[in-house]
Amino acid sequence: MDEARALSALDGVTGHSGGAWDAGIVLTEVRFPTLLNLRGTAADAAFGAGVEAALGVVLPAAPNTVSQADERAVLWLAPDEWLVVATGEVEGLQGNLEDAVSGVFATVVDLSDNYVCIRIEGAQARRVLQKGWTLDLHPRAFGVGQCAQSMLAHAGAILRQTSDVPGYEVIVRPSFAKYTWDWLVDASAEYGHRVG
Amino acid sequence: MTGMNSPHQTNRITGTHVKGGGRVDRSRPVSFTFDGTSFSGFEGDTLASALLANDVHLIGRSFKYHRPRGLLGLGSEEPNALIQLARGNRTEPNTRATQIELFDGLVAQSQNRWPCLKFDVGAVNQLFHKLFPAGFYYKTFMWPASFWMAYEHVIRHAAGLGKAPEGPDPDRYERMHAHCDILVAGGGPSGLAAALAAARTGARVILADESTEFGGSLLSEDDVEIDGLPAADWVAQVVAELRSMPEVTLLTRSTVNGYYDHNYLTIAERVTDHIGAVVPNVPRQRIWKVRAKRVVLATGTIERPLVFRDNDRPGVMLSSAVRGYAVRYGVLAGQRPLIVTSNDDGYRTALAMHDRGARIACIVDLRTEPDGALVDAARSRGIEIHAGHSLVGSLGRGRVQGAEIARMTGDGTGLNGAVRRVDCDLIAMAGGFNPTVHLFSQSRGKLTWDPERFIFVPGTNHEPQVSVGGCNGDFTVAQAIKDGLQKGVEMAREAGFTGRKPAAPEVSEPKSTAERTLWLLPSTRPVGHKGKHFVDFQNDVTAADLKLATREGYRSIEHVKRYTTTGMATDQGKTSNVNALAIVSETLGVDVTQVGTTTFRPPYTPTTIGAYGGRDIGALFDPVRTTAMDGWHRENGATFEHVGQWMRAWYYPKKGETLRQAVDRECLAARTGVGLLDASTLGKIDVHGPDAAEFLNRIYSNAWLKLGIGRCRYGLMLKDDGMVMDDGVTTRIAEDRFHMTTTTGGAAGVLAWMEEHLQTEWPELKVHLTSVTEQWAVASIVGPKSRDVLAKLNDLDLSNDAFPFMSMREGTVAGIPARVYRISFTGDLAFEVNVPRRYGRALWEAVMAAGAEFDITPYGTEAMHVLRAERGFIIVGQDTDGSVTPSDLGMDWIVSKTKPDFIGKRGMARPDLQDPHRKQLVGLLTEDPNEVLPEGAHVVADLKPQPPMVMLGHVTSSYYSPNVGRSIALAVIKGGHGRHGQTLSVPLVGRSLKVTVCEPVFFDKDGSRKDG
Repeated sequence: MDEARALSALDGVTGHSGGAWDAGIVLTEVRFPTLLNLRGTAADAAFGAGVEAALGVVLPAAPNTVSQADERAVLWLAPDEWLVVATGEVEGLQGNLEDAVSGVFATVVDLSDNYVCIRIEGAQARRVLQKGWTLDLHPRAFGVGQCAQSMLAHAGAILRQTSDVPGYEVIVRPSFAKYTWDWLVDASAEYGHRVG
Repeated sequence: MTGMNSPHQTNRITGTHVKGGGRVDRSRPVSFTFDGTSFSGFEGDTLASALLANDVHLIGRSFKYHRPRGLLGLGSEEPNALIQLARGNRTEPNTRATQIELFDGLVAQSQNRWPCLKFDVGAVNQLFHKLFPAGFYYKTFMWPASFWMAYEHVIRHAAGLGKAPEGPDPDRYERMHAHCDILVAGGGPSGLAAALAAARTGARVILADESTEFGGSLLSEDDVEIDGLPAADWVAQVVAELRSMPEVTLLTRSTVNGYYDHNYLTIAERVTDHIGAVVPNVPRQRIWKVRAKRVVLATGTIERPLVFRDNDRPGVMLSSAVRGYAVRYGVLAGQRPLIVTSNDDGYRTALAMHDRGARIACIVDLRTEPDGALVDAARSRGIEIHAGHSLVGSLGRGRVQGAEIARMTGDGTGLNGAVRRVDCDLIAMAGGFNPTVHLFSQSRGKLTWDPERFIFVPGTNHEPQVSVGGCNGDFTVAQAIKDGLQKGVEMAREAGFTGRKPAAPEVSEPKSTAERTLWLLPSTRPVGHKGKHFVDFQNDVTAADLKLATREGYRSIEHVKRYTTTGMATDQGKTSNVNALAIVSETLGVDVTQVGTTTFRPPYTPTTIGAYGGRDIGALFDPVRTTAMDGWHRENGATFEHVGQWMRAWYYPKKGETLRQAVDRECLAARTGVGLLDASTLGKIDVHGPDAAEFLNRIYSNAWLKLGIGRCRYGLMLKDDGMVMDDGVTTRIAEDRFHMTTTTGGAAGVLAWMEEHLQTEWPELKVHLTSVTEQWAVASIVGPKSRDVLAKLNDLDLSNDAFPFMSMREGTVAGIPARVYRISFTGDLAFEVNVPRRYGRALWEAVMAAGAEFDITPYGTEAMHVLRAERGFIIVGQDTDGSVTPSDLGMDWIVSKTKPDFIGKRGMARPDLQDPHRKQLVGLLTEDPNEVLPEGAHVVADLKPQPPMVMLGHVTSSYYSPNVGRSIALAVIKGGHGRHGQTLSVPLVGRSLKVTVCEPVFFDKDGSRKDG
């Protein structure tokens, strides 16, 4: 498929990259990540083994945690639901995963277009997010390797911390992407922001 | 000293005086205006202290009687000095002069006066005060009823508390969510101690104080030393240590104003108010929403006013406030103060004033034999003390000019000696202290009455919290600090931290002896006769009003409160509540505990609406959801309509076209040529698992087990009661996978509904549901030429045999991987093309280009509505309202008679739902084919000249249909299925219309157009 014809919900919203070098916040769209929603029975050993074999990542069992290996991360969303975040062609990965869990009751759905991913990074990133995110993001409560689902201001979002800077990824549905971006820019106003 | 160059401030204690300094910066004079007059103060002043420095005592007019009022207090307890701050759309009413920090150029105005403060027309209310007794507001409701309308206008005009701005607020406000182990509300001695003890364990601590700086009452005392340091120096030391700790958040100018369930509290932070300038991108105020594991309430005390005749005259103040203005701000509130006191604390004020150059008129002590160190200190300074005396009343015109005092009887209920006049310019009232239990009460804590000390103290708490210091009834600094340290470390331990209690410092402070509480100081006449004994200053409630309420039969303080308005409004009874309770209980001859207490409500002090709104304004008020094709719609002149949070293309007017002309054109094109609709917003759910078909069989009213792979079926979803809940087309993608569509607005609800049934009703079914609404962008190519357009983009066999109606094919469209569904919401030949969202715009443009030779016409939601109504297709939520069954809609065909069970089956079997007189869906045709009925219009059989009329039902959908060539309407009408052919009436404003009932299908009645 001709990628030149692909448009993100944030095209025309984020503006050109750049901004003040000393801006407290850097906002970046992570363009078209490969996203697969995974449903299955965590207690079923065959399911877990199949997923690990296909992805090379252990299925996280603890709520709101993330398993990661190289460019692949698996986010715990519910006792029987995970979100696979990866790069590259979706078809191959989806096929591998479906084959690996074909013997058990499991579901793999391509959601690569169902979400938009925004990275927010910078010394003040936690403070910016806490203006609209009710859950605790203090390092004692949340860190790299963790994820959570809640509202960021008025948009439902999946949030995960990706670096100790701190840096985070905010995953929202495309129809909420412009609102979320605009909200983040507004909330960053007192620290200044740069587009990565 | 540059301060010397600033204009003279009459009451400012001179810099040369030993103790004259205060905490203002005399090297930084600032100028401000009050009611248009320029004054000078210093940085560090409040508006209140600066006005007092300039000998301004008349600051406002009272709420009901428009009596002249001055400052009573020092901080948030101030009931009188309400100020209208700033101008234009930045203006803010009801700010307390005692909490307004002075800055250069500050503009303040008094409130509740007209035309000006000194000559207020409303003050005539005083002359007619007998017309405004307690409950006067309610009494005007009662008789004569027709006068209420006239009263209301006048009362509301006269009783306003300030004025709201008329335009949008130009300032920025923000919100911050925070979590902590320990939230300490109040930064006085106990709060500082608690915060320090907790913070040293490593706990996350938020310490908030409403004032400019931490220290609380310690900043107003000059006779307290802690560990050998002046109290203020100890404060600085503690604050410095707290500031050095990374897990401590220090918030000054921040009022903990609300305490809600589960230790959820709000703090209103005034970020830039004290600067008096807009700082770009920095909020003026910020609401903190805090979840705390434990809360330490350290809110201190508020001094009780004494209730005597005309105790509201400017110049009658709380003793602790008088001391605070002297010590903290270097201002003598009067040059010749009289102190009336029930306790030793009043002597501290006398000493502080005396030592700063004031000539004490005398001390009037309610106690018969005062003694102790403080009393001795006053005597040794030659201050005159009148023990066992009452302050009979204040004297003066506007400002206090004197007082009448007299010896009391032994029991304190009457006078026992001649009334003497004493000259003074200030009366400082020391009536004892009330713990500030507002936040404790807000958190559903139960108060306990201490009958020994006549105070309410925190009793049983409801939240994981503790009260320390003054608000817990511990009135000495030593005890407050000791208790703060102890409770601070205890709370930290409860929050999971370990640590030792820091050693308590040595505190040197004056010792106090017993006090004598009298709720009403005896006067020469009974209350209510000549002069007024105020209890609630802000709401103008007097002791006589409270006694009248009890005479009229009120017993519960909750009723007395509402009847007299005591303890209400922005003040929330800070200085008045306990006095009011005590006077009511004394009048009734019962114990205070039998009268009960009222509940304090948030916010503790008024908070701007802007702060609560935060950034939820303008474009950020609510998300606007758009589709992948939104940019094309905008670039091509579409108009839009809100569908929930979605913004959908409504119609695409060409130059000069009206809505009607554009929609007519779009509707005709979709029937005669080809139209294109953005249908992306429909809800889409992936239903997968070995039991997927069985699941759908239970969720929908019709049969699903035998649907072939690649085939589509329309389904109705019912609630348990048999009423239509949602509808849509669902397609079998594989043996164990279905692609469900829902209405745009129902998507989230349907997913939750189905998930709930899987988890709670049918956990044995192996089905997974995944929302894929936004995975797909959807373009519906509609009309007789739709096949021709799609054929140019696609190599599928699009013939009716190879690709029949209600089936799905996977392939590519314009080179994009796509699922094409042959389904139709117009009745005409149509193809619904689904592609991954990122290609939505590319698909749309490719279809538009391919369709150009067929004059393809994009159409919006308005034409979509008309087209579906022409075929009688319902819209759930428009033609149904949650009380409509499939049978009511004439859709019995979609309800399975053979399935053993499905949601709604038993509900539909209820006898009432078989009633032939239920409201049923019909079509309506007007006599005049160009008359379009208003949606929502009522339909009647017996038309009368005016309501009431018996209503048969109402119009649910109504349009002009260019394809039918006339107006069409859908309606739900009682017994409608049996009324086809009948003529009914639709009464409208000033006229009525005749309509003929018909089948709800107006076009293509045999459904033959679906194959093109």
